[in-house]
Amino acid sequence: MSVSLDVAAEAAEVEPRPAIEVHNLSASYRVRLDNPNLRTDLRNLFTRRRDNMRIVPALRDVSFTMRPGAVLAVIGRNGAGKSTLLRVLSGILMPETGRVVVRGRLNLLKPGIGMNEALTGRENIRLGGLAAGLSEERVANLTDVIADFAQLDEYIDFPLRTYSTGMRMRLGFAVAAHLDPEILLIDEALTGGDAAFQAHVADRMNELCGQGRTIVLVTHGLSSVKRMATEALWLHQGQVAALGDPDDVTARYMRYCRLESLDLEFDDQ
Amino acid sequence: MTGAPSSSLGTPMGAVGDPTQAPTDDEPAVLGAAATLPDQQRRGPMRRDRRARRRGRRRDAGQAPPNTRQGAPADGSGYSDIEYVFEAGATTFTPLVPYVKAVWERRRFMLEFARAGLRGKQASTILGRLWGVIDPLVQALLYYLVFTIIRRGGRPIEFLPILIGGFFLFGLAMSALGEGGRSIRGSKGFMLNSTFPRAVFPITSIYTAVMRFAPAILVYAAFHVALGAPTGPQLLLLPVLFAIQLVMMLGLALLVSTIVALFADAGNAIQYLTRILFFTTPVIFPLAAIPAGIYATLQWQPFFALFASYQEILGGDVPGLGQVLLAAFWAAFFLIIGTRVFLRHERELAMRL
Repeated sequence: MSVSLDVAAEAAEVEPRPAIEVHNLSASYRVRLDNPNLRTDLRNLFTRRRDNMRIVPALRDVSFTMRPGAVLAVIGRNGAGKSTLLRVLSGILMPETGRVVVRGRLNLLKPGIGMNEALTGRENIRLGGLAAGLSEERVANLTDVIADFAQLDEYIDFPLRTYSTGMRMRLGFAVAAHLDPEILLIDEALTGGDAAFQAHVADRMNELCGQGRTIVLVTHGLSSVKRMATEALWLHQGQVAALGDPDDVTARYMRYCRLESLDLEFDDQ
Repeated sequence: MTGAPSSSLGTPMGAVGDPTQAPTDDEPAVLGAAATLPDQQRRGPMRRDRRARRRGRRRDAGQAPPNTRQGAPADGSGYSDIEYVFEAGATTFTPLVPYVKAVWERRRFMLEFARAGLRGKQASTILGRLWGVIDPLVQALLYYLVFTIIRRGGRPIEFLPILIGGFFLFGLAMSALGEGGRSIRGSKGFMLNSTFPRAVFPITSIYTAVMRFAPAILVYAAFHVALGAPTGPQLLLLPVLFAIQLVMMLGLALLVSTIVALFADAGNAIQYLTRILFFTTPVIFPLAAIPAGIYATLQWQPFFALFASYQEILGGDVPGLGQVLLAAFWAAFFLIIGTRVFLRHERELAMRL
C-alpha cells in the first residue's frame, strides 16, 4: 500500500495536474429574434409563446486538457464559438453540459473592456487594474510601466474620448498584458495598432509565453499561432474540427478556408 | 459557410466535427505532455456525479473569485492551489461568506468605478454633479408652489424643509430601482468579459447614487436652518434611518437588477413603479393630511414607514418605535430576498444579456 502511495506521489511530482480540463463541454445562447415592443412584451407576459426566442448552440461536445505552461491558440471563423469557449473557461458563461476545471489564478483579457471615455489613459489603467483584481499598490507600481508600454506619450493624460481606435487598442492591450495571472485567456487582443506596435505586442506575447503561464489565445492571426502556440484548436460551428500541432492545425484551417472561398466563387458563377 | 469541414481536409488530428470522433469524457484530447485524468473519473458514475455536485457547490460559486480554494502549490506546477470547477447546474447557490469577501476585496474598484460613472455622466454638463442637488430642489419648490399658491393655502411654510428633504431622500431611494435595476443589463461589456462577482454592479450603482446625494446633505442643512425648521436630539435618528434606507436600497438593487436582466420587459415597468411609489409615499403630503382609512392601508407600503419616520423627525417629532421597526423589517426583507434571488441566478445573468 505504502509502495503504491509512494509511486503515486512520485508521479504527482513529475506530472503536474492539468491547468485546464474541458470535458464534453456544450454551451448555448438564448437569442431574441424580434425587436421588443409593447405588443410582443404583453404577449410574452400573458402567454407561454416563445417563438421569438431561439437557443443557439455555441459549443458542442468540446473536450481537451492543457498542462501548465501550454499555449493553446483557438482559431476558427467568426461565430465558431471561440469567445464563448473563453467565457466558459473563465466562469462567465455556464456550461449547458459537461465540465470545466481550471487550476490557477485566471484572467480573461479582452482589451478595452470597461474603459471610460471621460477618464484619462492613466485613470483607465488604474480602473482596469483594479477591475482585474490587482491591489492598489500593484496598480500604482504598474501604471507607469503600462503607460510606457502603450507608447501614448502625452496622450496618456488626455481623456479617452480624444483617442483614435488604434490608441485605444494600444492602451487596452497594454493594461491587459501586464496583469499577472497564471492562466491567461486572451480574446483577439493581438490585432490593431500600427506595425511598430504590433511588433511590440509580439515581443510582449513571447515574453508572457515564456514565463510558464498557461495561455489560451483566441486569434485570427495565423502567424502568431505558429509563432507562439504550443498547440492549436480549430473550432468550427461550436465543435472541435482539429486539435494538435499548431502548424498542422493552421495548415488544415487554411486549406479549409481556401476551399470555402473556391466554393463561394463557384456559387457566384 | 458550407457546414462542417469537408472530408477533403483529411483525417482529423484531434477530433473532427463528427461527435463520434470527438474526445469523450473518459478520453479527453490531451494538450501538452503531462496531462492526467481527474481523480473522480476513476470512480463510478453515480458517485462521481454526487461528488461533482458537492464540489460544484463548494468551489463553483458563481464567478471566479469566490469559488477558489487557495493555498500552497500542490502539484509541482508552481501555480497557486486555486481550482475552479464549472459545470451545468445554474441553480446551485453561491456560498454567501466567500462571496461577500470577494465583493469586499473589490471595494476600491467599486469606488473608482462609481467615480468614473459619475464623471462620465457629467462630462458634457457645466454644472456636473450639482444637477444631483438642483433637480430634486427644483421639483420640491415646484410642488410647494403648486400646493400653496395654486391651491391657495395648501401647505404651511413649515412643510417646505420636509418637502425638500423628502425629495432628496426619495430620489436617492428610487435610484436603487432605476440605476440599480439597470446595473447588470447596462454592464454587458463587463458582464461578458470579466470574472468578478456580479454583485459589484448593483452595489456600485448604490455607491454612485450616494456620492451624487452627498452634496444634498449640506444643501438641505442650509435650508433646514434658513427656514427655521426644528432642531433637537431627534435629528440624531436620521443616520439610523439613512442606514435602514441604504440596506433597503441594496436589497432592491440586487432584486430588481436580477429581474431586469432576466426579463428585459421589467426595465420598462420601473418608471411606472417609481411613479406609484412616489404618490403612495409621504413625500409631497404631510402625514396628518392622510385620511385614517387610507393611512391604514398605505402604512404597509414598503417605503411608507421609512419616509413617515423621516417626515416626523424633520418636523421635530420622534417617530414611534413600531414604525422604525417596520421600516427596518422591510429593509431586511428586501436585503434577504434580493441577495437570495441574485445569488440564485447570478450565473444565468451573462447568458441572458
